[in-house]
Amino acid sequence: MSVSSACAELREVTFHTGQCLLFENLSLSLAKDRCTVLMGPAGCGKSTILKIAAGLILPQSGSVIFDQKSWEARNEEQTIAVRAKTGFVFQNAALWANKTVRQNIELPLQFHNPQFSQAQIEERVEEAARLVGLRNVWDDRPSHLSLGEQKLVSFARAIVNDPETLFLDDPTAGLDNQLKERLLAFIEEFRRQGKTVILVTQDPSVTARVADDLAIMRDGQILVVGPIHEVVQSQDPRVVEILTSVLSQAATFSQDILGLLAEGQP
Amino acid sequence: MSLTSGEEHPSVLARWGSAAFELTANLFYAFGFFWNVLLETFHFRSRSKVGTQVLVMQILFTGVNALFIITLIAVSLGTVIIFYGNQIPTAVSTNLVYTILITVITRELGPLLTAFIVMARSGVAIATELSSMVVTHEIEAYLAIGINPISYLVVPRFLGVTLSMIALNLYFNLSGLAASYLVAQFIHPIPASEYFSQLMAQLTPNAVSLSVVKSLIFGIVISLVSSLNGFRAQQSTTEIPVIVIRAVGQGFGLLIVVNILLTLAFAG
Repeated sequence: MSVSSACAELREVTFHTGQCLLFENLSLSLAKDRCTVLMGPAGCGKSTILKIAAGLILPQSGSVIFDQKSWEARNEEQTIAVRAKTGFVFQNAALWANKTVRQNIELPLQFHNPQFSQAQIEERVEEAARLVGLRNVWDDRPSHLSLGEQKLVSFARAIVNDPETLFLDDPTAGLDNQLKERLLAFIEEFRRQGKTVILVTQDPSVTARVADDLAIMRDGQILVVGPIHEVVQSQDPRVVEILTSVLSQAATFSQDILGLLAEGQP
Repeated sequence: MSLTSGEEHPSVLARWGSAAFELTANLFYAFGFFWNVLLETFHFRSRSKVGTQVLVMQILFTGVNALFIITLIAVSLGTVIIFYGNQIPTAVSTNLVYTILITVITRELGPLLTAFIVMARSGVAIATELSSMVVTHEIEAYLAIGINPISYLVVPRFLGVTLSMIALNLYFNLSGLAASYLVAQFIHPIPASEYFSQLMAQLTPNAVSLSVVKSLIFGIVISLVSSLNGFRAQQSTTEIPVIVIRAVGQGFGLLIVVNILLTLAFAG
C-alpha cells in the first residue's frame, strides 16, 4: 500500500505504559476509502493501535501519518481541521458524564461550526440520532442509559459532523440484534460513500459484514494484513489459531469459520 | 511484555537517584503544565468557543456557592477578635484592636482561610472530576473531536477559581470587618464613623496589596495543583481518592509556604 492510498500509517511505532511493552517497531498501513477491521485476542493492543492511528495517544517512538501528514507535525489549527473530518467511537462510549445526551451530541457541532444556529444544530443532532436508532433520551445523563444506548449516543456524536473517517472501537458491543443491524447498515452505507472506516471488533459477524481489509494482531504484533479474502486463506497457523479462537467466542456460529468471515466478500 | 527482567533490588543510592530524577521530572512537568495553561489563558476568548459556560459554572460553584461558609468563618473571626481585643485594657485606647483586625483579617487569615475553603471545596472537586474524566476516557473524547482539554477544561477552572478567590477574599474582609463592628456595639459601643475611620487608618495600601496578591496567587496555586493532579490519573477509579488526597496535601502545603513568603516579601 503506498502512502497516498493510506488513510493512516504507523511507522516503527513503539508503545509502552510503565513497565509494560505493548508493541515495538510496529508498522501498519490502513487503507483509505476502505473498511479495515483489526482482530485479535483481548489485550493484544487493538484499541491502543486505533487510538494511536487516530492521534489520541502518542507513541514513545516511531511516527504516525494520518491523511499524509504526521500528527506531531500538525499545529493546533490543523489538528482541529482534521478532527472535524473524523469521528471516534470508544469501547466504553466515553460520554461526558456531566452533560445530557443532547449536549454530548451537540458539542462537536458547536465546536466545529460556531456559525450554526440552534435550529441547525438540533436538526443535525436529531438526524444523527435517527441514523443510529437512538430513542428519545435527550435530557438524560449518560449514567441513566444502558451500555448499548451509551454506544449509540457515542456513535451519534462521532457522525454528527459528517466525518470522512470513522474510528470504531468495538461499536456493536452491548447492542441487541436490531440495533446492531442498524449500525452495520449505517457502516455499509458510510463505506459505499467512499469513506474510511477503521474498526476494532471481536465479533466475526461484524467483520464478515463490513470488512474490506483485515488485520490480525497477537502479542503486540501484526501477523497479517490485507484484503479479507486473502487473510482468511492464510496458512499461518498463528492466524488460523486466532481466527478460530475469536470465532469460538461466538458460540452460535455453526458454519465453517473461514467461510463465515469470507461470506461478506464478493 | 515487561521492560525489565527478573527481580532486582536497587541500592539506596539508586533509589535516591531515582527519586531525585522523578522529582525533577515532576517539577519540569508542573512548570510545563503551568506554562501551557498560561498560554491557553491568553487565547481563551478566541480559541475556547465552548468554554465560557464552564467558566460561568466554575465561578458559580467556587464563588457563589461558597458565600455561606465564608460568611460564617469571617463573622466568627471578626467576633473573636473584637471579643478578646476588648479584654485587653489598652487595646481600644491605643487602637491596637484595629491593627489586629487588619493584620488578621486583611493581611493574614482572610486570604489564607478563604484559600483553605476554596481548596477544600473547589480543589477537591476539580481533582476528582478531572481524574474521573481521565479514567473514563472522557478526556480522550474531547481530544477526538479536537477540543484541547487544557483550553476547555483547565483554563475555565483556572480563571474561575482565581477570580472567585479574589472576590471571596474581598467578601471575607467586608464580612469580617462589618461583623466586628456589629459585635463591638454589644461590648463597647462606638459610633460607626469613628470605628470605620480608625479601621481605614490601619488599612494601608501595603495591606490591601498584600491581600489582593495573596488571593490572586492562592487562586492560581489551587487551580493548578488540583488540575495537575487530576490529570495524573491513569486507568483505575481506585486512583482517584489517592490523587485527591495528594492534591489537598500539596495544595495546603503550598498555600502555607506561599503565605509565609508573601508576608515576608511585603514586610519590608
